[in-house]
Amino acid sequence: MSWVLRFAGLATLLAPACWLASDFYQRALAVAVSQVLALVGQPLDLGRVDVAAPFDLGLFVALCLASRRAPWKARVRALLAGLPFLVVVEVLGVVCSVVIMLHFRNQPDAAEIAFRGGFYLSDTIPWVGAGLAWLWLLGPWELQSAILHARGQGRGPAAAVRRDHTRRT
Amino acid sequence: MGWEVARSRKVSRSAPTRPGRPSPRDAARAVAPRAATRQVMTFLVRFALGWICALLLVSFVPGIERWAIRGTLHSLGWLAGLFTPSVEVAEPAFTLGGTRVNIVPDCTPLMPTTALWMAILAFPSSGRWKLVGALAGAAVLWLYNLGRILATVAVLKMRPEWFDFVHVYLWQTLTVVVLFALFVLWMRFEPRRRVAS
Repeated sequence: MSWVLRFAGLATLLAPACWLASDFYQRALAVAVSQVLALVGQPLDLGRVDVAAPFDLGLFVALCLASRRAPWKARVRALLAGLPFLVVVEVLGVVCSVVIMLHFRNQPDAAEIAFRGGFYLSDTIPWVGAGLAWLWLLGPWELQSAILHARGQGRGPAAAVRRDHTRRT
Repeated sequence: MGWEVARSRKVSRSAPTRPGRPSPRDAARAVAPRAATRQVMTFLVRFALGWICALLLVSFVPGIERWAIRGTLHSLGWLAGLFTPSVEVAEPAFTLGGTRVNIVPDCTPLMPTTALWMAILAFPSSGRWKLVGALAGAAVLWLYNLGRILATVAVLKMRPEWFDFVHVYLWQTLTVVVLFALFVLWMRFEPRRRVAS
């Protein structure tokens, strides 16, 4: 649980900075989204988007800094790769949401579903973006260690690593 | 890949005796254990597929969203009613001591619960343990959300200038921390399996 406490502490420390940057960041995100929308033939001037950014970036940084099982090189690499990746996910997530909403806006039957779908799709950014990026980049170290003491000969990552290790040695 | 390097006799002699951890050489090279990488990727693919299915479900079935809002409102009314009589629930508003907030889909634990359920479903574990984790996790997230809304209402009443920050901190940051904590706890406390012969 020390990992969770470290993560909570770091996320709390980073939250005020994210909050202060939020307005500017989400306006910049809206500009980027508007430009991508213009490229795909859906010109729309968004003043500001509301996807709880850059709290997802703060959470990702907290996750990487709280990770101690992964070697420091991997953590640095995760930060360098993960932050731009998350920014791209933010832009593409909002673009997809807007495109879905706009595409079905004139179809009475589908408009409500499309609006809900677009809304929940944009919810992917704050809820799972940081976690998935972290698992992708540092999960092989962190996930196995989290379950190492609880798992015997299961099918999980720890057992798989154990089998892999045994096979090779 | 570091674990592929470990195939050579020289490296395998110096491989760590503790299973489940990369060798110091792998660690120094910052290369993930291959088997763990494969497992994590499988988990991520399963999670992504589950998440997409869940998004489609809540999009096509509006009753889920409505049920979550109504359930949150009535739970709030019941919980706050235990401590004070000045509670009013009139969908979609919740009023406590004269402070009124509207409960929208984002104020319900629908998305965090979905994320937790998809993570639990995607993780290789026994069906019974998954069911326990899903039910207990949903209950904890529901209670956490009630506490969060009541705390937010209290802040709105006493320190309205703090509201924006507290609202986004409690919802965005702390909820994700709780989500991770629940998932890690669920993984750690899984009962050991019997080794199949």
